[in-house]
Amino acid sequence: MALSIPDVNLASLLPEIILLAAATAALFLSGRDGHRRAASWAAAAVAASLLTTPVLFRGADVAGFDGLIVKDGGTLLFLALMDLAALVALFLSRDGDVGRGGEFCGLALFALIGMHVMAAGRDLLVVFLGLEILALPLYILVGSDRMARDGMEGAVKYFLLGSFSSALFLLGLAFYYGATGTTALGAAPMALSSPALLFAGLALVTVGVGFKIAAVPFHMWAPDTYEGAPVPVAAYISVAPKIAAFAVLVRIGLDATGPGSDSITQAVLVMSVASMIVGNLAALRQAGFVRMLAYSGIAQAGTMLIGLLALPGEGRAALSFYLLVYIFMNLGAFAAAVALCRREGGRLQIEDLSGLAARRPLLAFALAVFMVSLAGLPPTGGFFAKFYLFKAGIEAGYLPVILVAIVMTVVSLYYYLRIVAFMYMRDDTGCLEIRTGLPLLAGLIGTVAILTLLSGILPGELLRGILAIFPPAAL
Amino acid sequence: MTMNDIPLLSILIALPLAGSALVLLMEERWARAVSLAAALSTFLATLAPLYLFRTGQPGFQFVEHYPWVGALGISWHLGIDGLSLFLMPLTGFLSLAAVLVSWNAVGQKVKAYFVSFLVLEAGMLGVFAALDAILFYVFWEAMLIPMFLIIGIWGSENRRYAALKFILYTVAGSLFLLVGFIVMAFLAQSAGIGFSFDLTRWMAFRVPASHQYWLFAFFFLAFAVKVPLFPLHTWLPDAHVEAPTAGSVLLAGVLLKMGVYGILRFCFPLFPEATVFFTPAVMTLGLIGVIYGALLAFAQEDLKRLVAYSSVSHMGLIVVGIFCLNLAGLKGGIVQMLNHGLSTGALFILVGALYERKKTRNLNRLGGLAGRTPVLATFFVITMLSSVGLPGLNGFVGEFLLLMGSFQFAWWLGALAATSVVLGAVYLLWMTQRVLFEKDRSPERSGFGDFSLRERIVMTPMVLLMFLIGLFPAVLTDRLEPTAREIISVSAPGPAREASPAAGTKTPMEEVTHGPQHSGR
Repeated sequence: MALSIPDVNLASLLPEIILLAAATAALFLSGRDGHRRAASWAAAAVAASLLTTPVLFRGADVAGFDGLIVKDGGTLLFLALMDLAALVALFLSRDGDVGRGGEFCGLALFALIGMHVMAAGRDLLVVFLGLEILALPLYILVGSDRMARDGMEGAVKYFLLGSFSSALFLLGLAFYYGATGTTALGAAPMALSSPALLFAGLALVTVGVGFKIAAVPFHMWAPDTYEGAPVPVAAYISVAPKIAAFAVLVRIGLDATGPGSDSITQAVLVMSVASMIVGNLAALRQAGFVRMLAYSGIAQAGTMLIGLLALPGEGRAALSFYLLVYIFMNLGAFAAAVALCRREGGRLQIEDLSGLAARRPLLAFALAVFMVSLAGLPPTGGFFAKFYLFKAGIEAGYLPVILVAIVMTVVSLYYYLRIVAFMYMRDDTGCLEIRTGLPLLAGLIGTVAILTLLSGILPGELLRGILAIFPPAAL
Repeated sequence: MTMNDIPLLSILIALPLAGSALVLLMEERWARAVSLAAALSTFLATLAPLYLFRTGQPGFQFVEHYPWVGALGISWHLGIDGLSLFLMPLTGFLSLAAVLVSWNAVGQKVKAYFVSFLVLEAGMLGVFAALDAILFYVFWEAMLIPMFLIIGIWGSENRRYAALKFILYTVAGSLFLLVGFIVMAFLAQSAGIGFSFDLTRWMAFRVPASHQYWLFAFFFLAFAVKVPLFPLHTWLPDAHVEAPTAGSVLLAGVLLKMGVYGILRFCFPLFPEATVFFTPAVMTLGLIGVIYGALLAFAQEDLKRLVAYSSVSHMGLIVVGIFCLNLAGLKGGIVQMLNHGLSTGALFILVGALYERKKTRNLNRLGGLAGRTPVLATFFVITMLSSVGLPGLNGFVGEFLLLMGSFQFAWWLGALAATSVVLGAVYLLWMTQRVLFEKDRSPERSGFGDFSLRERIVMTPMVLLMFLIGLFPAVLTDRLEPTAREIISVSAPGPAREASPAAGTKTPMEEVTHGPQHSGR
């Protein structure tokens, strides 16, 4: 076998190289103000990575490493979404309680690199590599609050279940290789000796990735991890890995057209419905604010899975629009939690929000916008996001799933609006100490709230852009 | 169509929104004045279509059509016809009344209160003007949040429960509507019209019979919650009792009308076969609502609850009337929507005024007010009689037409529907007797005054309108006629359903209400 030099094309990894440099540099920052400085530099690096996206994408796909990494328009859109999520999370971490040094930013950037690799990888081995690069820094970040007991519990849970899911992914990869003779994605439609093996492989890979989006039945870690982790870390975990996982799931869903793909669709359907039901019903009973957001995240993941059912129709476009709006509204809710974070006496409870509107009208209004948007009511972005997913789902013929989704939306309305009710409809003000003097955080919350509203009032341009990348396939 | 140059309807929707933004920016002491100015100018602007409307011309007028979310087939499409023509000034009028009513009633968070009200008004106007299904839906839902806040923040003790119940009921219904809309857009696509939410385009194709029935059910569920039709009415008494006076006024006066409006706007023209199919079921529910609501109204001690249940009864009658699908029933239904908005809105204002003075709404603790507050009592009696349906007042016109429509449909239906009038007279007269006459049962006899100037300014035009509609109903019915005919022509396939205009010569009353020819503009 002749040794051939692979077509590396390092330029295809330009954003990742920028991020890697910044991540490494951030680790060296220390001192009292280390985290803040690191956050600024990390945010600049992420912004640079975000800006290279349109430069890289000039109408043609960017490939590197002999096709192991391929960045087409869709991938770049997902990469941009991750960068955006990371940018917001880094900003809100500046004022969050995540330790003094540059570790948070360094680790967050390493995780971001992992996500990039996951989304761009066209080979399951590369995807696995990305998955692990993503997972390891997050395990550390979740446990970074060394003082908190439940922080450690959350971290251990996350680590154990995460390793387990990685192992499942690896097993699935082995099956896939056994069935197709390659680890490259997109090999599925080839003539197969054993379709059952391929199916088992893809199913296990889906499970491994499904863990990252916290879809039922792989959601067990989410509530404890979110609650135990520092709020900025929870914010980061709640959005960014989901985007990467969905990028992979979209790829698998598109490529798995061979025998057994029906079963994968069935599995996604069950995951979607189960996540919506379990997440929403469990969220009803939560007293902790972040814990409620964790269950809401499970439910939202279930809603987003509808987008996977609608492949190759408009599912991708609907899903990416949903993720975009989700970045705004979910990170906005977490940013509000950062602004309200209780230093002593445990976690932020929903009761603590009592009478917030009288004390901090703007913050309360922003949080109300995020809640209304998460519930999917107009005139917020959440409405059009949900509407578009429903449309794609109905088009693909999954009306019963959509009916479950709307019943569950009504359920979700109760716990989202309960937050609004607590803030606006109670006169007793909670004994919560509200942090003041955080202009950057206030600006961030304001910007995100405006973007949430704007994506609901003028979604036309955004949708047109997304549809240019994911043209709706003719059915 | 020279009026098309000015985007009148968009301006109408923008006015209260601009007012709310202004309230937000100004200091709190200016909130009342600014919102009054906004509500007043909006009301005056809602009168413009009334004046410029071309009577007798079917179809939509003042149409505006701009792209909005082109990728999803959604457009900013506004327009009004005879159905929405009067609902817009009603909304403007009641909103203005609501602002005046809340002048002194709101002590805390004044700015937020008026902002909510003006946003609510914009939403209501938008619902009546929207000709794009998703635009309609956005207004329909965007309106819920301000109403949720109005009930939940400025309501009485149990307000949070009532506010959540209100919004959960409504959204539960309307999400099915959303799914129905999406399916309709796909049906339009397969009919060759393209993926569009444009209502006027939807009317141009025939929905396949296999889809009509369940789509009708989805649409109807959303509207039935809003009407509210038995057995979906249970949110209404709670919402009314807990809401502040102005909230009750708009809830009863405008929000309930949206249910009937939606049925007439969407269900009838789009699903004619399903409409006929479901008529017996809907009528049964409507009749149960008529009688059950009236009986429950008997049993109430709380004045607001009594008026709320009377609304259930009256709205049930409207639903029965429009489902008769004949000219009298439809015209009666549309007229009665306005009348009910006017008289129930006025009743809630009066009950609110009573509550401000006596600090109770309990019938057993009121009484003998006629002697001490003669002006209030006079307004109360007139409004009550309008609600009862006394000839010469507005309620009579609507009820008469509704009952005539019911009798034309089937004699027994008319007989059952007429119980609404009989029972209504009983509990309303009984209530009036308890409140205004007999002896004062309140434990304390603190001093309180009669109507203030502000309250007289609110109530006088309302009472004048009641007389105006009662004495000159043709002002309304002429403009409604083409719309009513259009609805019948698309919704009722069989000629048997179409009430012959010749029937209109039978009574003098019909002559008034049926003759569009002599006063066409």
